[in-house]
Amino acid sequence: MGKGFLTFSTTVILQAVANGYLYGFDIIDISGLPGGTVYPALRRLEDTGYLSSKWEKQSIAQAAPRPPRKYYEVTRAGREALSEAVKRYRLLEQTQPIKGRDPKPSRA
Amino acid sequence: MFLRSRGIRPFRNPHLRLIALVGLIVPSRLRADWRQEWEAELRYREAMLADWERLDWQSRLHLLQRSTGAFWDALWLQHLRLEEEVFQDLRYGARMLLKKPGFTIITVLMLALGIGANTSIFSVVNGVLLKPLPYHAPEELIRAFERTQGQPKFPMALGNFQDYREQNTTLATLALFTRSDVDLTRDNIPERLTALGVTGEFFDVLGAQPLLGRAFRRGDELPENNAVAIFSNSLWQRDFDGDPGIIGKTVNLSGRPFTVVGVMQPGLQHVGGDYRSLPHGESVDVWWPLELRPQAGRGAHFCNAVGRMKTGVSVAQAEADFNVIASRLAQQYPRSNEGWGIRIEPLHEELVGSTRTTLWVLLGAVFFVLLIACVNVANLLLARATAREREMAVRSAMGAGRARIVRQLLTEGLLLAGLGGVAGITLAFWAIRALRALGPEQLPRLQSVSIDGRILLFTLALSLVTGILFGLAPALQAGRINLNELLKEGGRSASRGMRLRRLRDALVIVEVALALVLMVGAGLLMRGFWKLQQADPGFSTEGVLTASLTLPGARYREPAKSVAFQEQLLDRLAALPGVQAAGLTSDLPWTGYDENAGFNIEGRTSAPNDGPGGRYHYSSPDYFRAVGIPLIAGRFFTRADRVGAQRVVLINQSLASRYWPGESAVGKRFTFSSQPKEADWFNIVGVVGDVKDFPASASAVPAFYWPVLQQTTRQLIVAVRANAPSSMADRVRNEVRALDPDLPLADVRTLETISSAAVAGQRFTLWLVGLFALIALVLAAVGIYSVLSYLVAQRTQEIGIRVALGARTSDVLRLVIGQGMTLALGGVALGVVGALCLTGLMQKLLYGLSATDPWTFSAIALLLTVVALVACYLPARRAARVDPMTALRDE
Repeated sequence: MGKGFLTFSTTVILQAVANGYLYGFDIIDISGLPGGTVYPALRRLEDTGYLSSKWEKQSIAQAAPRPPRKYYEVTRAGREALSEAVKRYRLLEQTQPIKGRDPKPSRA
Repeated sequence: MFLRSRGIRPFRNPHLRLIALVGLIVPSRLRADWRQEWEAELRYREAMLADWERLDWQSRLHLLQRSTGAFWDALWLQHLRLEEEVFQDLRYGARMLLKKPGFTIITVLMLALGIGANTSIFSVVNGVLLKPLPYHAPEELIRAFERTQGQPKFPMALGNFQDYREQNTTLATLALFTRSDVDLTRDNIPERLTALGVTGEFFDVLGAQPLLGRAFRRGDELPENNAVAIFSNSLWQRDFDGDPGIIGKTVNLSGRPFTVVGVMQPGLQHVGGDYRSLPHGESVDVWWPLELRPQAGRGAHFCNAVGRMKTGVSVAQAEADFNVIASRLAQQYPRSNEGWGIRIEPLHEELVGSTRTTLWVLLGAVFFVLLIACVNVANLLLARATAREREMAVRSAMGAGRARIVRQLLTEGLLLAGLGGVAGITLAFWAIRALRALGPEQLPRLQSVSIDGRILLFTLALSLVTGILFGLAPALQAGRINLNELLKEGGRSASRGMRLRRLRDALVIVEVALALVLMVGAGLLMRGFWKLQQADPGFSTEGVLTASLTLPGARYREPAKSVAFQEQLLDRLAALPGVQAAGLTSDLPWTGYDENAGFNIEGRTSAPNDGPGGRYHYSSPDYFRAVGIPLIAGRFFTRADRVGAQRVVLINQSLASRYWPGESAVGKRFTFSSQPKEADWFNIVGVVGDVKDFPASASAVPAFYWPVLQQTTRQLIVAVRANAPSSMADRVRNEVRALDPDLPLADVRTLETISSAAVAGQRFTLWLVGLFALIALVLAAVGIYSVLSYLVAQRTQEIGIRVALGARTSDVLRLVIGQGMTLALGGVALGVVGALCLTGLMQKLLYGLSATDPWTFSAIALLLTVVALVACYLPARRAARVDPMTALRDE
């Protein structure tokens, strides 16, 4: 998928991340799209450079205990592409609520 | 496991196990991170919902559902596999090969030759020896022969056949066939058809179903039902335009009416065989039923027996069963059957058994060519590996493990082999076409040779093995490189250099040895073939035109008519301009004729089934002159030797020396009756020269000749000696037509064609092995040349020093050529030893020659040495031209 044209579902996913839903399963919940769509889209977006991925801090994970989770952030290029796409898909302008004020996970 | 290393407890839950399972298809270098990502999410969610044990089934289902999404994710990641190491290696290898196109082309060519030749020959072996015969359950088919003291494989007599058929318990069906061509006349144009007389269950034995109508059955053997015929599919298409209404129509075969009751499927192949038969393949035009009477003869053995065993029966069991019947018959009919038994052989063995030696020799030869090609490629790769040392050293310093480097070079080797394999298959495709067109008659089943799945698999495996064979040595060498050592010494370490050189030298010696063995084989075959050609055939192979004609019984029932026709024909032919002699005979030399009879010599007695006998022929007075058989004693036939005159025979030298050794046989008498009257005695009026059965036969069979005008026969061969034999064909045909317009002339060919075809098998083998030997010689020469070139390049500095210190051109030449010839002579010596051991395997193919013939060995060794010398000379000359200044300056 080259830079430029984002499909509707990909835009939904990108917007979800922009709106604060940083983890894969959260995006699945909020967008209503299945895991088999969301995860490949996340990889594509990362390949294109609209998202960057990071692992959460080890200490947080170890407390659980569970492996550290991977979370995604929108890059600057991603923000530009998102605003373009949102203009195209008017419906998206008012769809997703901003997630509550959870502190951003510290980088690993 | 990585989870434990990251401080997490191992999982037991189904959703996590599913992740582990799906993770197996994720490209390996991404696997760990991928699993962590999914497991982290799932465990987080699980923790949020509470531990697994405390979850209700809805939540559990929810988690499982989530984990199924992992499958699609893993699928999406597949495209990243292309960046895996294997593909990296392939791309890198391809790039390396493209960088040096000359090297790549030469190696691929050499490999293509080796692999292609092997594929071709293996296809032949597959088609002829390995593929099952084209009949239903072919492993159940057998041939049966009558057997006695002097005759291990004899045709069967009709009377005996009926008893064997009735009394055996081991065969499902048994049938006979014998060749008996017929003439088909339509629109006043006669045409000779190849035909077999068969017993009722012949098609049941083969399991052949008719396309139209029916096959024969036992009832057709009765005289009242006998006038039926079955057409082959090709005859039906060719002469009757595939007329679907052919069944029930009447056709005129050799003057008698036959009703067509069936047409066979296309592609039905005749089983073949040597006696009164046709070659294996689609060689039969029409089948007609043999007439079986209850009191059929037991003395005339003229039929070929073919049968199908019952399921589960072995050949030994069938043979034992038949021999029980045989001994019973010997007791019942001692005069005809005493001392006779039965021999049973699988049909496949009978058909292709004799070709086995030739085919395995060819396969061995072609395998040698492949080995030599591999050695050459290995040598070239080794040379290149040395040139790429720096590259390897840098890569290993950058972290590529030894295994990785070895694997990468091996991949290059396999890539070369793969390209060689593809090119080889293309070569093989064309080669097989050529083989099928030019192959000799002596090689049966050539039409079933083709490239099929098994052949492709063989080529694939061969390419793989080849690639590993020549790729391993350079790969392992390269893996041992140490960057430090390399950069320090400014090039190469002494010990490594030595080891490499020794390896390459050893390879060259092996290569030369292999080439020598192959060349010795070709040389022996060549000499053997030459001896075969030189051997006196006993008749004249040039300047004789022949043709066959069969006088149909319907019009030539009385002998007088037949004799009249023959005399008129002879007169007419002798009168044609350019004709030196014209004769008639029953058969031609070297065509497989094998009719025999026993006789009683005047004044001698012999045991009932062990008396004198010989092959019988019919001939006209001038036949011997026409064909060039010399008169040894007495006289030829004359026109006076005809019906009503005293009975005479001519005998050949073998018969004379067998039964009248040391005395003249002219004037002696023998007879064929057991109580002869005066008129039953035959006078020997002359002795003629021997003619062997086949060019390579050890000796001639004792034989005698009846004058065709006296003991007439209806199956005749015309032989005309003329200046330009092939141009006589039309004139001969006109003369025959003038006498009888319904009589077709068939098999028109010169004796030259026949004698050439008789050695076609040996010639074929010779050409192939010769070709392989030539390829081997060229490859070996290239090998020596390349090794020496490399040597010279390596030692440029040293040579420069020597020249600067006063060495002359001849010294340098001697140095380099000396090196090269040491290798070559070593190879020759090794090769001679190898050849001495191996050529015994092909003794069967050599005529009049020992497999260790010293002349051939010496000549070949000399030839190879001279070629090696030439191959050494070129690099040596280059060395001698080295300018000491430039040599010393370079490094």
